[in-house]
Amino acid sequence: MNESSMSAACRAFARELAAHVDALRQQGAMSAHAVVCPSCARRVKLAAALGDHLGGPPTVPVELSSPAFLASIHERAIDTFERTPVGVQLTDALRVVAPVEQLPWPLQVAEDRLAARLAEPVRANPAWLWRQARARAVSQPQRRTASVGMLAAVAASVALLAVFGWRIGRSEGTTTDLQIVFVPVSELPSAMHPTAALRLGVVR
Amino acid sequence: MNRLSRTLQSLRAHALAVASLCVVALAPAQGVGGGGGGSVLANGVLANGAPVTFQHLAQAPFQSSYQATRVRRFLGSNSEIVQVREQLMLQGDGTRDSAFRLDFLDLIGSIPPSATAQAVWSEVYRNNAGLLHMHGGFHVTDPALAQQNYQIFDFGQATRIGRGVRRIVVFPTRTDKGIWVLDLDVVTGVALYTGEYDSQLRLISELETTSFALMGSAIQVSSRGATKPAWSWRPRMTVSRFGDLQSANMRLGVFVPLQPAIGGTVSDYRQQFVQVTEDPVNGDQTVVLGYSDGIDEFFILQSRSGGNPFLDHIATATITSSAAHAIASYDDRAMRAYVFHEAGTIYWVVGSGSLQRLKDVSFRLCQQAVTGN
Repeated sequence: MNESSMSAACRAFARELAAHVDALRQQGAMSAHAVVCPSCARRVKLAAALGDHLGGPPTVPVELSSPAFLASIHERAIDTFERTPVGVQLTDALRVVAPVEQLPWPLQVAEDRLAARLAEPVRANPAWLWRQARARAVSQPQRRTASVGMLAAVAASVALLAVFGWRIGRSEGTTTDLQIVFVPVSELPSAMHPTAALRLGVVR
Repeated sequence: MNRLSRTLQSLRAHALAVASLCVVALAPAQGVGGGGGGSVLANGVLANGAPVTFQHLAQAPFQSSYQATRVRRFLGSNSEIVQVREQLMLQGDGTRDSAFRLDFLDLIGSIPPSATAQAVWSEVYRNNAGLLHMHGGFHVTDPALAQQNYQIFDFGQATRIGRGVRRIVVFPTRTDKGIWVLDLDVVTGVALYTGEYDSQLRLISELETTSFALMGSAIQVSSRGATKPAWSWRPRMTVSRFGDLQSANMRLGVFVPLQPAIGGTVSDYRQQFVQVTEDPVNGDQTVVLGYSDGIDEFFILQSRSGGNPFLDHIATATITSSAAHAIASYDDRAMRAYVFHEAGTIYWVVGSGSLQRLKDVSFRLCQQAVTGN
């Protein structure tokens, strides 16, 4: 674009623009220079019009005061925040992990996060219940058979786990056993791209 | 079919909106200035008002020898517009490998740049002139592919820096790519103005020529294949191009790069080049695979590294299992980049900010790197 060239008279007019705007408003007439200079006449009219607009607060559209509009702003802000690194970390930190005993079988088996819960002492049962169970176990003639049955059940559960796997605390990026996680970074890495190369020159 | 016509009508309306935006911002249309004499092109396509083709757009920048001063505008890290003045000298030999030189002149802004800033910018241009010239701005890398993925809308003649130009809009058939506005010099076909807009018609980058001078008037056939002149730019790294990855493997020794199986994700892109870049200082090698849809480009880089550079940086809170693999991701309006490390190799997927499918490309590449298929 060509640079505009202002004459000395125009520059002098522009320096006193506020006074010319006041004169236009009060007397309704252009000053002598504006009468002969269309650019300066346009300049003073524009300044007067802008002054009128800026003179008072603008009228607030009715839509802005509706609760639905405010709610949509909040939702947008929350959606945006959720995608930031802080939002992602908060989501992970607030993820509710069900207690071991509430998980459906076979999820009640060790995962890092749940191993600690498994190590906690079992809630105390009444002493008479343990005495009764012990007595029954000691007197059982087919104890050996029962233990074989128990082993078979454990083996079957392990086989099922191996076949179906389990997923707890799923992360974004994958739905298979191969976990691939996208981690947003806020700083541009040094990459082979024209924009990245040009930004190297932007000295902060 | 009705849906297709509605889509095309919407695209055309979009293109008209972009052109209207540019008519207001750019020089007003006047009579054709012409350039005196005929075009240096074989058939003077633009001067005669014949339709502009992708073939022409691919060849024209390298048909003439000229010197141009340009203002390059791009988005900074905070989405602010940064303006840099540069000078391009090109000796056209009809190919993309024409000898050129791209120099930094100055930074445009309210505050004059310090001597340090000037030195930094000069160094950026010295190191990256090839990247800026070959991959920054508008280029048609494959006319046939561009024909499939873009449409040209002609908005007639105008004037720029006293030269007659043809104003066109290059519109993508998919919305995840940039829209280009071009002012093509009617004499040489060189773009005197290129503006890239995203699908929401926001400016991404601009390259505006402020002075243009032809050096010589015709292609010197004898210059093709000749040694480049002493003034032409040479890369600091040793760059070798190959037809395919198998050929490049012979240059790489023990490093065996991955052949990305990403065709299903970016079916409109084709692999355009395979390049091995070697640092003469430490011998580090990087394999660069360039993909293009005819105009837009993205790159997949692979280089050997000593260890995982992300171990101490990526938040482990998001990784629920020691078997998880992390991809660092960065994106803004201008560019996006995905980086991950696997088995001693660092992988990069880099492209324009609009191309969101690159996230899927990086996911697929990571999957391939981990599982081998």
